[in-house]
Amino acid sequence: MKQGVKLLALLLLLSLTGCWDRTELNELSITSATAIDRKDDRWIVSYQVLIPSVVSGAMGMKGGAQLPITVYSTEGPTIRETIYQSTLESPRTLFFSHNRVVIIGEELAKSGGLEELIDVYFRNSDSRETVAVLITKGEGRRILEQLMQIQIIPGDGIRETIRTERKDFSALPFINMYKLAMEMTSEAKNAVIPEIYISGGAPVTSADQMNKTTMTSKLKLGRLAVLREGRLAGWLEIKQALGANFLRNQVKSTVMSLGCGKGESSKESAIKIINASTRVKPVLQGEGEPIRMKVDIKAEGTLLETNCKADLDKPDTIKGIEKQLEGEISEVVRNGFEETQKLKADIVGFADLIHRKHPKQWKKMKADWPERYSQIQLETKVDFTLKRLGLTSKSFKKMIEEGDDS
Amino acid sequence: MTPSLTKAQCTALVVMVISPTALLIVPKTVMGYVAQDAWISLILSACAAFIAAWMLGRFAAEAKSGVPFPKWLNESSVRYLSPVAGLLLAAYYYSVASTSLHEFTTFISVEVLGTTPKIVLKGVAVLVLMYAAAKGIAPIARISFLVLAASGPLFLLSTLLLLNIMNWHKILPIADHAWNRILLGGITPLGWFSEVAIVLLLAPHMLRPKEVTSSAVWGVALVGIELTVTVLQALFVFGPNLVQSMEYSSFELVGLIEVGNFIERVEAFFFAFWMMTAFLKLSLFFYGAIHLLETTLKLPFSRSPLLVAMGMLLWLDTAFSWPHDMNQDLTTNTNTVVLLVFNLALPIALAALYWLAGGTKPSKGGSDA
Repeated sequence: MKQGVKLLALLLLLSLTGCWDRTELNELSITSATAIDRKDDRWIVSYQVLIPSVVSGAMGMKGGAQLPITVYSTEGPTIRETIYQSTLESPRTLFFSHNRVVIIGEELAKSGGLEELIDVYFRNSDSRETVAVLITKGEGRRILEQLMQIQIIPGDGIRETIRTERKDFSALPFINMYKLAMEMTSEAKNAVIPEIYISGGAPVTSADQMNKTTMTSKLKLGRLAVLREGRLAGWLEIKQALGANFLRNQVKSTVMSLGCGKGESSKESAIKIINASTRVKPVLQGEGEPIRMKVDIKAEGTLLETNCKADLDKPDTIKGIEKQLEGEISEVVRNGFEETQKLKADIVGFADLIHRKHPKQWKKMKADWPERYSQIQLETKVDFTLKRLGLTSKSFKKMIEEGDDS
Repeated sequence: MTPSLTKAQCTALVVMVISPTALLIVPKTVMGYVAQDAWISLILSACAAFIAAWMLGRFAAEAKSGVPFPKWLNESSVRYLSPVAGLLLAAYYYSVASTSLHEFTTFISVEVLGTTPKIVLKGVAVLVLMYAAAKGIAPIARISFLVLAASGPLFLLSTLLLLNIMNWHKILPIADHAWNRILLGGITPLGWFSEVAIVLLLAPHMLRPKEVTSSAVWGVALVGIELTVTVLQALFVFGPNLVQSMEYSSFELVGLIEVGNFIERVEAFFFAFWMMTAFLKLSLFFYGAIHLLETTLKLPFSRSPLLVAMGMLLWLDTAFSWPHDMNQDLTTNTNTVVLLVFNLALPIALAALYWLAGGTKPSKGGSDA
């Protein structure tokens, strides 16, 4: 009897193995990047798929060696059917859990198919909402085909590029799928996606082209796409995007250049801005009056470079630089904001701010918010402190001049 | 029946009974009613649950150590209600075990084991429940205490890892919804909190049944904190609009945890932990149904045949009673009514009748251990 129970227990263990869901690594196509395009009413999904044997074996690629990725596309009436079409041409099942970026084609963003894409991500557990989202002019597939030299897997490289940009330059925000969904469901229902494009000449798609010190073209981050109610409404240039990012309180660290005095057009000093924080306070005026937004930006910084003759040992000089940079930041913020006003797209979150601070008034102005947004008066106050001058207080130019005088 | 539960173990059992399913359902349901004011609904709901826990605890504290609830009721002033109450509660515990098992396997199927037939998942789960019920309440309580002790640091860790993507401004504007709506939002969590009524079953197993009131209140407090923090986490990260469309926002949250490129995709760890808590809940309810049946019906044979029969029934019931996985109305609205009736209305009615009729009458006492 006891042996029978033990045998039964052993047999029951077989049911715990989860055989139905077992997945062998050699049955999977691990995608590192995906591009989604729309052509008429058809979806075109492109996949950048890893070739594991090459990735594991060849961290340093030699001329003529096999590339670590392959790119292919499928077409269909819905996103998921399109993805399942891949079974017609691939011996392996597509696996999206390691997908690092999604590239959205411009046409898709214009036609308003983003809602469907977000639905796919939130409905299926194999797609992760942490995937980075970028947009490109033309077809997304071209971005997947472009190889990178420093990073073996381009999908990984693109993600790291946008992360590094956010950390060190902060002009473009890092947008992933859940942030995109959050922005599109915010009070203003507007969102942003950074652009990626191929800069230079012929695309680099083969190992032979990679085997040179200078490549004919590169993947590069560009402008900031502005979405209004899920559709592409326009673009912000990089400086305008930085201004908008200041208003979104998402500037971690950036660098700005200044002239040697107020009104100097040629830039000869560079300052790294850190610890920037933005507070915005809405001031609602009477009925029909435009809303005023009091923007208070505080930041600190370090002098990285200068070719000016000014004496940096004098407190007045430092104050002058601080004032100059405060003016520069104000200008950048104003330009960026005015561009969003022209697009009538509140990507800086003012609608949420008014909803939070003045919920009753918000209900009244919600319906014609784009119009009200385009009339907002921005009052910017910047408080910048230059904390460090670097390892030398005088510019090299001034040192030479002083040497000549003495 | 040998009493062995300590106050801490009883508190852990109360937490394990409420928390696993409430954690899945409450954020979406309450934010569906009152968006960013969900935390107010939850706090109000927890306050009402404190009162309920205290009342139920006081009633349960009347129990005699070592005397099962139906038997104790049978020896009290309301002995004529004992068989009905015993059978109703057994049916209720069985029903909760069945519904929760369905929710549990649906979740596992959606998130992890999509291809494995659900009938197999349910069969394996039922085997575990049968094993746990055969071992009795003491091992379930000991494991519950260990899991509760481990869940505190884990909960804190997940909050810390999510801090950098939280935006507390999303809580504003506070009290944006009418108070009647905020109160309405608190009803579903109250339904889950009311599962504290399990103390009626637990008190006789305690070394000192008088301490059950304190366990009930502490259990509700701990779950109240856990649910409120979970709702606030979801609100601060996703905002109120997105959570309303998320089936399992608690797990979506841990899916976002990323520290550089070396700590990511940690949700599997949290799944595994949550599965432990879900098994403890299911085990307790399945044990409750078995225990109440055998004591109410005074079955003359050992527990094993009943265990096998109930296990088979549970397996077949959950395998074939749910044609669809999405039963939003059943798992929120209908379930809330069932929870409130069997956990609050029935025990409170029993308690009222018990005290009106003069409480415990002198009896011969005894134990069925």
